[in-house]
Amino acid sequence: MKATRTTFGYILSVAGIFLVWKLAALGVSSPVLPPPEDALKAFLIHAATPVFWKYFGISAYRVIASIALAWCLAFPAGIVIGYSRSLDRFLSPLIFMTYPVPKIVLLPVILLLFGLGDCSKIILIGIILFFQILVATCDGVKSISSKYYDSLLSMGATDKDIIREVVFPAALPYSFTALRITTGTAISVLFFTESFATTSGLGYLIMNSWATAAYTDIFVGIIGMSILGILLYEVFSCLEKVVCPWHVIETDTVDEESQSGSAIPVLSRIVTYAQMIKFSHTVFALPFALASLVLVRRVATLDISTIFWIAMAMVGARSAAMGFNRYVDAVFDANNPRTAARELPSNVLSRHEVIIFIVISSLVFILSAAMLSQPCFWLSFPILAVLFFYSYTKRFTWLSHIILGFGISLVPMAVWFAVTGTLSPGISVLSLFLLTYIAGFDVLYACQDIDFDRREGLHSIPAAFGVRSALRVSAFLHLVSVLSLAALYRIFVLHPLFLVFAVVIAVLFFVEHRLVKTDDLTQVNVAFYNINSIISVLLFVGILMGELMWGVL
Amino acid sequence: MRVNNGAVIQVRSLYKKFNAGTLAVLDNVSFSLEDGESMAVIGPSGCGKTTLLYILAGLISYARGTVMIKGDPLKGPLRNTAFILQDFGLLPWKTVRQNVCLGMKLRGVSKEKERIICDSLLETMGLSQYRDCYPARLSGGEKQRIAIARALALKPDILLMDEPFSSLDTFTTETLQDTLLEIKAVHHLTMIIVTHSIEEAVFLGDKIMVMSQRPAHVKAIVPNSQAGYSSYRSDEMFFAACRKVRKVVEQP
Repeated sequence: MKATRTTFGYILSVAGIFLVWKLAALGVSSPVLPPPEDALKAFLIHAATPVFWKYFGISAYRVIASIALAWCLAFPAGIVIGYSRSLDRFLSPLIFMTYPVPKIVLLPVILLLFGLGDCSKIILIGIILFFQILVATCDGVKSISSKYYDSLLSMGATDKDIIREVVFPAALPYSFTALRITTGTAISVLFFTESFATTSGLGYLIMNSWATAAYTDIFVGIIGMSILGILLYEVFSCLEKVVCPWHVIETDTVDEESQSGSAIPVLSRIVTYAQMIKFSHTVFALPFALASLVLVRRVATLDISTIFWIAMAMVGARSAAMGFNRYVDAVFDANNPRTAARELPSNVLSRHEVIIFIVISSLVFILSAAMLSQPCFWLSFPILAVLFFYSYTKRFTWLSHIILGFGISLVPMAVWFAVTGTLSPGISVLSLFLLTYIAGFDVLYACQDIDFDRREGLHSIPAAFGVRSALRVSAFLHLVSVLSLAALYRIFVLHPLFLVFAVVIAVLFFVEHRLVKTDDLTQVNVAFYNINSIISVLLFVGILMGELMWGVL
Repeated sequence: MRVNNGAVIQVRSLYKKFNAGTLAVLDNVSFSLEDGESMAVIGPSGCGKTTLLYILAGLISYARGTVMIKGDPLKGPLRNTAFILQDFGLLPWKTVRQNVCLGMKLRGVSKEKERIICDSLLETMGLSQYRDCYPARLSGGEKQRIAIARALALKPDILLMDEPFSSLDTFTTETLQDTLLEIKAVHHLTMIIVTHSIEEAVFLGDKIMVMSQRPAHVKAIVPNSQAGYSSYRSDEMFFAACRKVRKVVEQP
């Protein structure tokens, strides 16, 4: 649960940075700030060279050696100083006097004493980290509740016992927190030490690119250093979980009690939004956009900026539609035990915040469409209308499943139109697959809510015709899906390998319907998540193979 | 009737003051406990009940008076005394088993023996399935059971408990009180329990020491020899004893 939250947090953050960067690059329009895709391309080119990894390795070695050195000295020192009152009395004033002094000014002295090699760099970074870890550990030891000491003393423990059983384990999480926080500092100082008098490392790469006016390459170094920082941060988080398993349990328990108790409020907020719009479900729709891109390559050439704006349009449209759906359905969601925990009904997000979110998402969609072409811009409004309209259909017609499928099935056609400016009968077959596939499993999903929907007067196929008929309708829709796969094969003249994937998808549909029994709907979630995400991905891979294999076999 | 010298715990004219110039915490406290006897200590909050326990556990020193345990003056924590702190004092970074084994580990008991004793204690406490859990995952009642198991692992003669059930709900409290009475009988423990509940004091204590406001002196020691079995809770004598104690508590 936590891991997926972090992953989506990262994905969203990267997407956000990418967007802001892109806009800034468009605004500045100078070689000094290349657009993100150029920087990424340059990074990938560099990443294929051994020189880059040599630099990455050297930088990693310097920073990891510094951190290890600092921790090995600071943690035991922090424990002793924090625990022993007499030592604390002598050393605390000294630490707190030297703590605010910017140790980085010692650089010339350290260079003169230890030479220009790795040693001086490791020592400088090490000194700076030492104090941070020391102070955090000391504070951690001082915050240990006296009840733990008393408890051990009453059993006849000695000082050595107490340090081993209480102080050491209690201070460990504090030192890990310090390690995680200091990764940023460590990387900054690393850049500083690598910025002169050296010919290796990522910092050198940045400074050298600057000197030779290779502006895009500056960003190769920046991306490399960011990756190094993120990796270290994650490594420390994982180490903490392994070394202090009790600490994770405690923070988890606190998290459950107050959602706001997160260390990074902005990130957790982003994650909350991502959960609201079920960002994870993008996996169902995204492969269809990719598949459409693969197919459209036959009739048109693609460039990176088109792909970028198509992706942005998709994220914008999806977020707007899901946000709107949650907003409109908040009343029903709150009453339904299955959905009462959603972000809006449970008051994690306010109605006001959700409206702002919908407006921004819609703007991203419209703006992205405008960047694609003039007709796309005009079409973005009726599409948004269809997406919003779906949320109301549940209130008056059991055709709501079809409308949902229709809304999502616009993806392949929209991609095709964005690239070529026209539509083709072939791509509408892919849309038909998507329509029946989504509508079919939405019917399955609705079977779980049948009692609730009937009580609240909401319309759905299970509520109107019963579970047994609903399962038949769903099976029929998925039969159409399988047939449209065959049509897709004929129309686009795909490689026969595609048929293998089509057969696997057909089998998966069959398994899905076998799993869901009239009297046992507990399997719906399993069927829904696992099988459907596999089907989406299989279809994309199948089309990709069907396209590429002509060149190979 | 034994002579006074046979007392397991004998406290005479105990006086304790933390800082010069402040009010004394304990003033002229005297009592004695026979082998296998239990005493509940009750009084207003902040009156020094906990300080008394800390002194008996050997964790803090006392200025005047005598504290004799089994005939010897008390100088520090004793091997045969177990002390359960108010919020149990379980170490969050140790699993249930490691917590129970902690005291034995400090005393250099062999790993093999440690495991046997621990497993049988967890079995009797009904906590076997939590053996490898961390305390944060457990309820208050389960934590208290672990604390009791940890204390019993050291095979004590004397058990000191500071408001053992104050953070628990009524049902858990009553079950644990019954467990405690059984343990006391089986292990033949001499027990002192600090509490702020009159009912608990009457249910658990063979005698009840009522203390005054700070500086705490002994208002009265109410005998209550009928205590010590589960059904006492609904006995008419129980209510009579409660009324009697309440009267002493409310005396100015």
